[in-house]
Amino acid sequence: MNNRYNSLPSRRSRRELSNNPQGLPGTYAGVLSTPFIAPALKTADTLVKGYVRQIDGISFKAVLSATSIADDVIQVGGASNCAFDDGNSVTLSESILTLTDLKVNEELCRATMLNSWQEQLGPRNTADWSSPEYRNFVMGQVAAKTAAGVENAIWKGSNGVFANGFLSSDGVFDDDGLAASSLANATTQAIAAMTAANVLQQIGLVYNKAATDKSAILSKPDLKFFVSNKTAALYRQAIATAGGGIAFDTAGLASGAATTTTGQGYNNMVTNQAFGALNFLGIEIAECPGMFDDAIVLAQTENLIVGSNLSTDYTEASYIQTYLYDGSDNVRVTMRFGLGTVAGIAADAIVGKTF
Amino acid sequence: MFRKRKLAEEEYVEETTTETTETEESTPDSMEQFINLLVDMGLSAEQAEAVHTMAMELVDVSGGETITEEVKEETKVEASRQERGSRRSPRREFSRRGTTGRPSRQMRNEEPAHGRRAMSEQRSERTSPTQRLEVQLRRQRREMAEMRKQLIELGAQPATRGLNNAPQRREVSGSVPTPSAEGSIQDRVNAMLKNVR
Repeated sequence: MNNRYNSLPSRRSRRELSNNPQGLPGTYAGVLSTPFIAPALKTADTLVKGYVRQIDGISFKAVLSATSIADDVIQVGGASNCAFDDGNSVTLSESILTLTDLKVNEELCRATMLNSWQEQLGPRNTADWSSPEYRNFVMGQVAAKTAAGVENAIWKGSNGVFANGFLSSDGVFDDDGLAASSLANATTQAIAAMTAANVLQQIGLVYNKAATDKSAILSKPDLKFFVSNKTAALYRQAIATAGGGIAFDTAGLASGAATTTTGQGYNNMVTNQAFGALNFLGIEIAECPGMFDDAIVLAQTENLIVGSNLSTDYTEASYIQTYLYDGSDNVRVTMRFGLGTVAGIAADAIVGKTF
Repeated sequence: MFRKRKLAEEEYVEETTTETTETEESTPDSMEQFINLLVDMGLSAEQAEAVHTMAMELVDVSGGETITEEVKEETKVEASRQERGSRRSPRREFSRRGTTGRPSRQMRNEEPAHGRRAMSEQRSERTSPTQRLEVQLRRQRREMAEMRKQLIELGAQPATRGLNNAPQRREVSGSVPTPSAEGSIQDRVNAMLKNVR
């Protein structure tokens, strides 16, 4: 007799609605937030390509010490030369990396994201609104935007948000911005606004400054030119048409004016080539999308430091399904993290600037 | 019949008294003997008294526990008796028991009828999905233990390190994941979030 009812759902399962909205666990704190915060903090070009030194796990501040020893530690030996040098030949300098607390509080409409989501899934795949895949998709969109913001912030700073950029505190490359930035005490070199015609010369000016004032850094293996995408593009154009001569036209002959003609370029292939890693006299050119256009920085990777509080208890990421509670069609994404920059020895970096 | 009931009551009283005397016996009462023994062993009278006091305290503590257990047992026995009594009418009870107070063999056949109901209730409880799964799980654990023993006998030692039930979590608690430098920022982000559950 009981067999008759076997196919019916049990009393308990009858009470459970099949279309009950299922919420995902949405808040991740400390190391559990790392999978969501790390993409936001680590995928910026400057960071992911290892152009700068990165220190994670900072709670608030990090003290970076640098020792410098004067060259005159070697003394004349022999009779009557038994004394010690004073301790001034060894100096210890410190730079402090302070994190700025930053947050992301974004509300996104599910309907707006639906097309992209379905496109990414493909026609034969189905995934629920409340699946981890959809959460990752939404978090990924926000994380990518955050990463682009991090790239800009570490070079340019951001007015009222992040006053700790390498070249500016407020997103503007001027005297005030540079004076309040991490490279405020860097060695500077005046350059002109760059074009394809003069970019080699401007980079050359910065190189020359290093040769004359900071020649010690030129032998460091991690020395790099840091330039923007635009400057790198101008440089490619320049080296693709380099090797030309000086052309004199009739007017030129008469007036003595000369124009530069385009040459065969690097490898004699003019523009018909792909440039891999860019170099200038053996020094790598790092293309950083967050850099200002008319700025050149010559520094060591070890000297430019970006710190974060990743892997500490202070990071947090949330994915809040607000549509479950307020009848809207929204989800909210929040991220809490800390970011900071500092130059180890700012004077060992050379900044080419147009002001 | 009245006599029989009285007999049963007497039995009941007897049982209780035995248990009480047992409790009394378990407490030591010869303080002087104990102290003398300790003095003979070389302790001073004061030391011996102190030891005796400590010992008494210890005995009190342990004795209290024993008594509680006994009381519990007693209550349990009483409860079961009451239960039994409430299920059967006194007449039926006395007809079941002979002069010895034990149920006769013939009457004992009645018990399965009552037990069967309990068994069927138990079985229906056991057939709930959770319990069935628990039984399966226990059986599988036993099998795994046996297989492990066999493997160890053969020279292999499986599961010397505990299995990780949440590998993602373990990875997270380690170092910060390194993103690939290939592709756009969005590609890198997607690659990092791909397997996050």
